[in-house]
Amino acid sequence: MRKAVKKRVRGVLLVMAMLASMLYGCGSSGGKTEPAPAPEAPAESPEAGDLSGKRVVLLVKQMANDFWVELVDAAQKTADEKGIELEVLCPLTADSNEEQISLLEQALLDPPEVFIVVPADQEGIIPAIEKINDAGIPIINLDTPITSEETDILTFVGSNNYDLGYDLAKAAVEKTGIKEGKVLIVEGKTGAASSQQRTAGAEAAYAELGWEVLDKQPGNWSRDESYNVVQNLLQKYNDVDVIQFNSVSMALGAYEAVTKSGQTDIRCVAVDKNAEALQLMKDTDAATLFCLIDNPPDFIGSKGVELAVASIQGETVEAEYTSSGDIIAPDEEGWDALLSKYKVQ
Amino acid sequence: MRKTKWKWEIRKYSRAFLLLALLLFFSLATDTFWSFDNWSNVANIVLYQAPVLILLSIGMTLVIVLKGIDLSIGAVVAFSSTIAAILMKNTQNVVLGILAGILVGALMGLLNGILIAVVKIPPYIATISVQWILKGVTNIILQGSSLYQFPEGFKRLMQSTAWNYLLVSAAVALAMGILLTRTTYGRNIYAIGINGVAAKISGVRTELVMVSVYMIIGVLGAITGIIYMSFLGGVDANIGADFPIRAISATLVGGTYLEEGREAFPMR
Repeated sequence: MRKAVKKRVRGVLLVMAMLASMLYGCGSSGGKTEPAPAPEAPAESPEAGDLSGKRVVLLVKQMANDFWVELVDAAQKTADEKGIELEVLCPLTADSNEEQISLLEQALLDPPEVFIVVPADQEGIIPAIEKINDAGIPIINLDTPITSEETDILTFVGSNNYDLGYDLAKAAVEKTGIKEGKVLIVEGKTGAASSQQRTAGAEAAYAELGWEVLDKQPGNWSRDESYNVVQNLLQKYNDVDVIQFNSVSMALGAYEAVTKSGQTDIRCVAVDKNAEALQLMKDTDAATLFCLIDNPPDFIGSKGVELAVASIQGETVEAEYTSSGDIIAPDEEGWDALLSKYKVQ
Repeated sequence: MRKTKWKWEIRKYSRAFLLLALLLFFSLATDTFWSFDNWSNVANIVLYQAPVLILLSIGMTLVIVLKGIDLSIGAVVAFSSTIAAILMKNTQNVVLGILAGILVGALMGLLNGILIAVVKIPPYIATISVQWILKGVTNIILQGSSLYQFPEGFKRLMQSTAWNYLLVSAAVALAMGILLTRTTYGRNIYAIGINGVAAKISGVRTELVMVSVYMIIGVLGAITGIIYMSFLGGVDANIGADFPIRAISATLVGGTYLEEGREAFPMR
C-alpha cells in the first residue's frame, strides 16, 4: 500500500518537472532578450507613462525556425522601445492547435491589454478566440488570417499569402525561361490558411503561364517530412522543372533529396528566407535552391506590437496591414545587403 | 499441441504473405508497378528512409518485449543530434561529434531506465516526461535556429556509399536478432516481459536488464539522429516529432504484441 503511494508521488514529481521544463523551454526561447532592457529607459515615445504596467501577450506557432525567432525578436524590440511589457507564448509541439488553445486559456486567467495571435490553424483556434472576445480584449492577428465571421478581430498584419505564392511562381517561370514546364508544390500544414493561400496563388500563376502542376503534397512545415515527401515525389515524376515550397525550411530539408535524385536541373523555390538558405544559395550560386520570396518577419512582429500600443492608446487602426514580398536571388537588387545582414560569408 | 505450432507458423510468416499479396495486387491492378521509376523509388526508400525506421523499431521491439514503451525516442533523436552537431561544428572533429551524440543517447536511455526500473515510475509516464524535458532543453539550446554547415568529412564519412545506412541498420538488426534469440541476456528480456516477478525470483537481475535495454534504444535513437543530420544537412528542434508513433506502429505491424510482452517468434 505504502509502496503504491510512493510510486504515485514519484510519478507526480516527474510530471511536475516536465511541466516546469515545458514552461521554461517556451518562456526562455521567447523572452531571451529579457536581461537586455534592464535599465527600463523611458523610450522616445512621450506617452510611455500610459503604458507602464500594461501588458501584451504574443502567441506564436513555434520557435524552432528562424522566421518566428526574427518575428519575436522584432516584436520584443518594439515593445522595449515603447516601454510596454510583452509576454511571448508558444506551443512546445510546433503548430499544435491544442496547445495554443490551452496557452490562450491560461493567459486569460491574468488578462493582458491586447492579445497578438498567430494561429497554427485559423479554424481550430476559434474557440479560444471566442473566449477572448467574450472577455472584451482586443485581438491582433498576425501572419495566418482568422477569417471567421463570428469572431471579432481588431486587425490583421501579414503578407498577402496568395500574392506570395503567385509572385514566387511567376518569378520561377521567368527566371527559368522554360515554356510549359512542370512543377511540384510542397505545402505546409494541412488546414493552415497561410499554406492554402500560397498554394492557391502558385496554382493560379502556373495555370496562367501554361505550366502544369504535377502534384502537391503537405510537408507540414517540417524539415524531415519534406525530405521524405520530395524523395517519393521525385521518383514518381522524372520530368520536374521546379519544386515550389511554402516555407524555406522545407526546401532546405528536401535539398539533399533533390540533389541525390540525380535530376540535376530541378530548381527549388521557396517562401521566406533565413541565413542557412542564403548561405546555401551563395555557395552553390543558386543552382538548386533557386530563388526565395521574402515574407518579412521583422515588419510583421514590430507592426503587431505598434498596433497593440495604438489600440491601448485609443487610436483607430485599419482592418488590415499587408506587406508585399520581394524576390530574393543573386541577380536581384538588395542581394548583397541581405548577405551582410545575415552575416553570410 | 500441433495446432498451436501451426498457429505460430502462420503468425510468424503472416507479414511476408501480406507483402506478397500486396505485390501481386499492385502488379495486376496497375501497369506502372514494375516500371523502372517505381523501383528506383523503392530503392531510394529502402536506402534512405527505411534504415531510420528499422533502427528505431529494433529498439522499440526490445522495449515492448519488456512490456515497456519509449515515447521519448523522437526527442532523444533531436537532442543527441543537436549535441553532436554543436561539438562537430566547434571542434571540426567528426568522430568526436558522433561519439558524443551516441553517448548522449546512452545517457538519456540510462535516465529512462533508472526512472522505470529503479524509481519504478510507469514507462509511459517516465518516457513521455523525459520527452517533454528533452524537447524543452533542445529548444533552449537551439533558441529556435537551426545548425548547419557541418565539417566536410562528416558527409564524406556518412555517405561514402549509398548503402551505408542500410548496412548499419542491417548489422544492428542481425546483432539484435542474435542477442534476443541466442543469448541469456535475450532470454532474460523475454522472461521479464512475460513475468517480471518470476524472472526476479529465478535470479535474473531485472533492474540491470531493463536499464540496459532502455540504453540500447537510446543509442539507436542517437545513431538515427546522426543519420538524419547527414541527409537533412541540418538540425532543428522539431526533428523526430512523429518518431515514437512510427516506431511503435512498425514494431506492432512487425509482429510484436503489446499485450503479450513477446514478439512473434515462439520460445524454443
